[in-house]
Amino acid sequence: MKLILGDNQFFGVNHADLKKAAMTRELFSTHTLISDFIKKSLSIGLDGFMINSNDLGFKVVEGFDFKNQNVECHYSIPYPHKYAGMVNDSGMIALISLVLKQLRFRDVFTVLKFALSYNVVHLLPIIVRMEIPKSLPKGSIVYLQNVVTDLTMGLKNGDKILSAYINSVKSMGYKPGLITLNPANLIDALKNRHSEDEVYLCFNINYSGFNVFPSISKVEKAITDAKDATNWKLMGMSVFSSGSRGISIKDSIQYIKSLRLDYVVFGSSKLSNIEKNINQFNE
Amino acid sequence: MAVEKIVIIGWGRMGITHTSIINGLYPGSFEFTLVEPNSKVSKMTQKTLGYSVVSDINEINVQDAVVLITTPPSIHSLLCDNVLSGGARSVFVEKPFGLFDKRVQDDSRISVGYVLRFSEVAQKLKELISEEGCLKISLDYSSHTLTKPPKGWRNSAYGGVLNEMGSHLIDLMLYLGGGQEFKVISSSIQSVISDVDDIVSVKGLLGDIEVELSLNWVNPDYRKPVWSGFLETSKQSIRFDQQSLDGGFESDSVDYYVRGRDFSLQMKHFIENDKSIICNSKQANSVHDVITKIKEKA
Repeated sequence: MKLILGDNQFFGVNHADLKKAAMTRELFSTHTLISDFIKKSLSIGLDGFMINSNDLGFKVVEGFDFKNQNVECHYSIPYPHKYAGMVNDSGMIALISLVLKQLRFRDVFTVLKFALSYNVVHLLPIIVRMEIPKSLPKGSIVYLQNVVTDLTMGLKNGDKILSAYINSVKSMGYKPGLITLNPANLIDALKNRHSEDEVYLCFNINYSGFNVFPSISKVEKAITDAKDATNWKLMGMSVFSSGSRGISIKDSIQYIKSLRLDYVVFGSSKLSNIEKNINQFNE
Repeated sequence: MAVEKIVIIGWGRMGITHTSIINGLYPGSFEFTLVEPNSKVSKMTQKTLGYSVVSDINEINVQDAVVLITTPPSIHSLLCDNVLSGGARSVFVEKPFGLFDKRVQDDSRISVGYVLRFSEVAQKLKELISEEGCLKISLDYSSHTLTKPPKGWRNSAYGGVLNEMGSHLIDLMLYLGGGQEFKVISSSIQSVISDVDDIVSVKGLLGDIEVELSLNWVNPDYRKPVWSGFLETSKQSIRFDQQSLDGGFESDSVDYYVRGRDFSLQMKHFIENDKSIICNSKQANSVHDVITKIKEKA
């Protein structure tokens, strides 16, 4: 099981304590501070890091020295608040306008396909490209954020759009990833079409069932289904229940280790906590 | 459940969100028809997602349909009257509804989209208040939503932090306070980026309950929107926010999660006609009565 550094502490996210989230955000106010923390975390035994494509995250990846380190970068797109604000302000057409402003000469056929069909799926490669820094090493994993994955999956033909996302990311030389809070639904929707693909699936799972949807037992069954039927790599997130449920770290880790997960992502603003967790995962 | 007809009027952020949640909660149970006047959005939606889309509500029969209205607020009441007179079985209208100049009639078929009361935090607070009474409620909303002046109705009397986000907190306050009369003691309103209200601070009385309300959607210290608060009962003081509360709470499981358990629970209650938690149009009017009082006192 590989261990990946999460990014919530960098961007002021704590699913159980908003005040703590705001305090930790202060510690990581620049991309240099974030990069330094990532490097230190890697030096004590983590296998890679996950980071979102918001302004700071984009700069972290742009400036990161991937050549001299054996590190996995798990990059998540998009930064949903940027687009939510745009849709609120100017409607859905504003999104399409933004995409069309990013066109390159080689996109002419893609745009023609879109113009003739009005099918937004044709614009997916451009949309994905907009979010990825050029310096992101090929072979890195590019995840779709859970709010976009789950919103899309709930819609008619949502599975086809997610499938097109997987194919777009693959065609760019990256590995496709999906973050979801509904892993059982997602595995059901895509496992047949993409069983041979190396799709990375990241979802909540923890001993107490905190924010595990719809239930621990159904997610455990989904893990087994996916591992039996696909080549997918599974990543557990929120594995310590955001520290909210009085479950010890030891019990949390024992539970996670009992599952057929390939990766675990967790974060902390303290290197000492990360080191303790690494040691317990390696026991 | 037999396949039923759902009509979504307005294919923006909330229309898409509710459609996704309903389809995720009840896969294959509903046939959706969308009403979207923008021809480009309409065409892209049809071709990409495969939904049936019409440009005007009058093009379809809404008899016995479940209808969700997620358009800009100034036409909510017009559309609501239209679909109810057309025989819609039930109507969900996004907030804000019952605007200062668009009063709405109480009708048991209408649910209004104030979502905070569906959160476990709100339900736990309601339970505590019924057991221990309430002396004081303080509610705060902070975000960095506005970085430039909004366009269209969002920069008008229908927009502003009071209408757009404050209405949620005011609804929560009225819900927790049991619908008592609200009296404004003092209020201050500042425009910082928009032409309307961006920072609002209010002190008031809800019956005998002391109330403080603080709204700021131009606060650069916040990356994500956060609402939080403080409740004083006869026995204890409790701090809470959108996802936690002193003493904790049992979280509800939802079968499909998109933007929060409260959004999924809101749709579950609406679709299953579960009236145990509901915001009706009378309560929606009350929210805007409070907003009017706050603006008059500032």
